Amino acid sequence: MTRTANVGEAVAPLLELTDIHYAYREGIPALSGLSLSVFPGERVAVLGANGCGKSTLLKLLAGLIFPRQGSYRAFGRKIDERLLSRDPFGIFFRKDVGILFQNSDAQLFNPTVEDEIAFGPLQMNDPAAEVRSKVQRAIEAFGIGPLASRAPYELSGGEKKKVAIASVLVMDPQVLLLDEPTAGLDPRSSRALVDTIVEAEKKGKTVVTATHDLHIVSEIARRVVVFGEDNRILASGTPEEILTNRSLLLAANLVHLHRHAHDDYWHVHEHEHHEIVHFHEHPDESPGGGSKR
Amino acid sequence: MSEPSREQRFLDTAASRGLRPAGRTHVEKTLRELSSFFSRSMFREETARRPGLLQRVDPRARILVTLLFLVSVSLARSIPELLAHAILPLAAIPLSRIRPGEFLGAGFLIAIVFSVLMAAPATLNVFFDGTVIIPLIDNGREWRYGPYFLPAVIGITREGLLTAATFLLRALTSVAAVLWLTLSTRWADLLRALRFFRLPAIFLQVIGMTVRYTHALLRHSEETHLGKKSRTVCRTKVAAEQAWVGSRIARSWERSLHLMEEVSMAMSARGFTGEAKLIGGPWFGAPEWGLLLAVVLFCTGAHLA
Repeated sequence: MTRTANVGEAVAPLLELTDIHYAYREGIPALSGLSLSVFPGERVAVLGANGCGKSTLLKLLAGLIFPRQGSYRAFGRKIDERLLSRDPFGIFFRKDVGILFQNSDAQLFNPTVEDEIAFGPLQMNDPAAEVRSKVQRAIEAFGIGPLASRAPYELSGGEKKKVAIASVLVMDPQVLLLDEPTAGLDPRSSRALVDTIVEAEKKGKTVVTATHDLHIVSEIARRVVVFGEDNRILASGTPEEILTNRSLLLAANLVHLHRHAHDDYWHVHEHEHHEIVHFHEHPDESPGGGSKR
Repeated sequence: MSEPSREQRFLDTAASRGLRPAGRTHVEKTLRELSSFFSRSMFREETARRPGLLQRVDPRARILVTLLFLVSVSLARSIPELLAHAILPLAAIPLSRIRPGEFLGAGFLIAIVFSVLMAAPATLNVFFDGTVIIPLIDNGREWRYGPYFLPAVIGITREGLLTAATFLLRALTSVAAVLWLTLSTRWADLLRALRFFRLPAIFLQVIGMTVRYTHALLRHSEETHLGKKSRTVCRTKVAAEQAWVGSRIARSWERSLHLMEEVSMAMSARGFTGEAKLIGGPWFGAPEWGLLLAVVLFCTGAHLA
């Protein structure tokens, strides 16, 4: 699959999955026959309910797990375990593909925040002065100066997330894979993260974000891929196309019918959950549209 | 006659079923004590954050002076030398704004008790010959059976006292120095400071991760325990409690395996190939050199005492 760029030449996908099947246990598939192409500089949101395979997809794209069936190509190379562990391309791949885990505790394994951020550049054998300067810049960019000498267990959930993001971005990866990046973040931190993703696009980075937070989708993505509960892709389109397709969102378990009381009347309408914002609309304003309590 | 209240109805049902309040089972007490012990001993970092004079010195210098001090203590032979050495940790504790109660509670009291128990037999002429200065038991005559021997007068000897005092001073002074270091230094700083001693990076990485994830699993266990407590309505059988603890241990094991897998992936994703690399810190400044010089001078003076 190729895409045509503005100037007319064909652009090959940067990441390309073809007919991928993956199961953690026999008989319980996490991904079934998935095909997906991500183009350079694209911002893609992967939407889906819990357990639909979003995290598995990101781990697969990050070359951390490998499909049982199907093929994965990245940067024009067929990705397999041997290539990433034995070939010098593996170093390039690890440097250029950054993944933010859903569970920040898994990602923060160093004694202090400073060590955490320095981990990636040190693995790349950057000179000590350059490592320090990169760490300092990342700390300043995320406003986590006061946390620099703290241990991960001394951080709140939101702080852990920020440190985890800083520890990924310090590597300056070309591909960012973000697994539920706004989960557990307060509105301001969530906003800052959305800005970071938008900024990443300006720098030409490719961002794939797995989320079920519909509020941020139109900002963080130009293309949305919706996963069904059967671990297959249900639909793909622009944020406007997807977010206005109520039946699709209902089928994907991203919104549900909600009964809501107004004085003496009950309304029934679609509704989605999010930690901070409670979003819904009322299709009928007249009491007659609802049912008498 | 009024209707019984909801509470009364429930209590009547509970009484008819023989239910008793949950109380505090020994399983719960054990779990809480275990968790509290680990939290206290491993993660009490409040003392390390105090603005004491010595907390301002780089942890590497603190480790270095502690090691120097321990070597110096082990080389000291006489009681006056050891007594002079003991002054240093005793002075360092208030300078680090550590209260005596905290110091004793952090393990010094236990160290005193066990050191005395170990040293006490050596003071008696039952084990080693010597000049009795405090007679305790007068048997009237010696008693001998094969290689075993009891003197006519059992008592504390001068030589035994000297040996015990030397042992106690050496052991307790060393323990005091190590406790001062751990109370005045956070785990994270301590681990970072160990890099200075050129220990293998992978060893330090593993220790750091062990501390990190012990905390994560400890917190998880605490939460599980609180979760159970919040839904425990009445007292259950001890066997059921034990079965629950067993199942939670298995769950924690499963969880730690899952976490290990995720951590391993997170490390690989950031370029880890099995070779640990750690960032170095800046070189010593005036406070660090000052502390080092002060301890060297003090130890030299103590040997001349």
